[in-house]
Amino acid sequence: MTIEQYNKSVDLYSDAVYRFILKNINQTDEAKDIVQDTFEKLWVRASEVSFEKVKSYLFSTAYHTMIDKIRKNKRISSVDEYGSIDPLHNEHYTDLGEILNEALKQLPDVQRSVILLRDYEGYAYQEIANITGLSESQVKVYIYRGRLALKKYIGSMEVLI
Amino acid sequence: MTEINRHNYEIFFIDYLDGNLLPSQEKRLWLFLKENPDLKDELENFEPVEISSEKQPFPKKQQLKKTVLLNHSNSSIFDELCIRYIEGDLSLKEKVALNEYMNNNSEKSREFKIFKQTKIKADSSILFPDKEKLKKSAMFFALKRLYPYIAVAASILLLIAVYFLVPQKNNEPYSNRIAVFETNPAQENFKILELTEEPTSTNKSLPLAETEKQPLSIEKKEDQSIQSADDIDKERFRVAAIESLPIHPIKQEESTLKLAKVEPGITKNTVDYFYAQHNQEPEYTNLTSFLVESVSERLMETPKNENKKFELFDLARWSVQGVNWLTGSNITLEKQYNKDGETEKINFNSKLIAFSTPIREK
Repeated sequence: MTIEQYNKSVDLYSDAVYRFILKNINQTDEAKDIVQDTFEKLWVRASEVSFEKVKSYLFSTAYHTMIDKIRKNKRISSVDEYGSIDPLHNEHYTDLGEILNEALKQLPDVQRSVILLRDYEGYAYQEIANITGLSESQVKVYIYRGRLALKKYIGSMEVLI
Repeated sequence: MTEINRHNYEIFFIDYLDGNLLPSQEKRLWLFLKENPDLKDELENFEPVEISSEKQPFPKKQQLKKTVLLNHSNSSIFDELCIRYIEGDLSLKEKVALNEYMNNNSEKSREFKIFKQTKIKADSSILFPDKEKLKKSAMFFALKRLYPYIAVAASILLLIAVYFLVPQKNNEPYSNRIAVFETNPAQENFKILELTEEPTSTNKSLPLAETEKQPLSIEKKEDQSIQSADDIDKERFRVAAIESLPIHPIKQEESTLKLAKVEPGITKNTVDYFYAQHNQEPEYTNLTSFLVESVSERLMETPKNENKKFELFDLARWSVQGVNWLTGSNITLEKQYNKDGETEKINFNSKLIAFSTPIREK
């Protein structure tokens, strides 16, 4: 990858990676740090990463950097945890976007990540599997569980609203 | 097959009629029928019965068939179909079936709308603010490609410098001498009582008494006592011993006796010692001392006033650390000590080159 391609990658993908990380951890400064770390890692390995694969490399690196930080902060939840979320704590939400954001926050980390990769970036199951290090079947299961949990949450909130 | 008799002849009869008997078995059958003519009549009168299958269709076949396995009692399949619909995984047939199902079920139709709302849209207002900081200039990129070569070249040069310039053992006139000062806290002055040899590797085994007796070369000076630290500063901390003063044996119990090591050339230890006695911050005799202390504190995290002697080896190590920091490489430069704690070798290790060089001794 040339320096022009690297700088173009910054223009093309830094926002998307930042959004993905921010939606996962909800901490602006930490999200910025992770994006910076990710691009520094890309810069170090610029000669090995082709421009065609740089987006996957960035998302994969950012995802694993984020997981490492979450583990260090001991905030990670079990990957097998079912998305049981309690809407009764959030009765003041009136906008669907806010409800969805709140529901998303309460999902287990892995379910949230795969759904964001699917919806934000439109990645295929296999691509998500490559980025997260999961199997394709696991990705499908986590997306299914995550959507079901979101639907239950939104349904409950609609009743309350 | 067992021998034919009146208890099992039916099996032989059926096999005979089906054409499944071997010639030898058939021969035995005919011998048996000859002995039992009543059974021969039975065989001759036997007529095989053939039952033809009736082609009667099951009248409610269509009712049993299912298109996409949707029914009112199976909501998990409905959930799965809804999620697969959102994910774009449904076939055309399944989509049609799902739509038909929802048209006949308003509650499921509402649930389907909620499912569709779980599709998250990216918030385009969220932008990474420090984008420009991530970008690299072309010059930096070109320099980056040269980092490994620069690193190795710089390290080799530094090692060569270390090899030739590191101070050698026993090559300095006062390196192993101890100045003994008598201090008087009340008067805040002191005088040098004795200058003696510090035990070295060659005389470590000498008893204290013998050590005390050893004559020393003492430089004569008229002014026998140093009144303040300023005087010491003026003298550049050159240890002056006065020949005319009597030399007293040292008693360890004397609380007024203090020991300080006199360093060759660099006399900061002595300065620190004296300033420490006067509860003052150390002052630096020149710019070099100040820089050494500052760099040692900040880069090598050496505690202040630790009295660590600066060597060119330290400079080499800082340089290697700097190169590592710049290039992300893992070059190491370390001293190897012998069992007496003396520096024996200097080891250098990088990706491209690694060697070890012993320390010269005079």
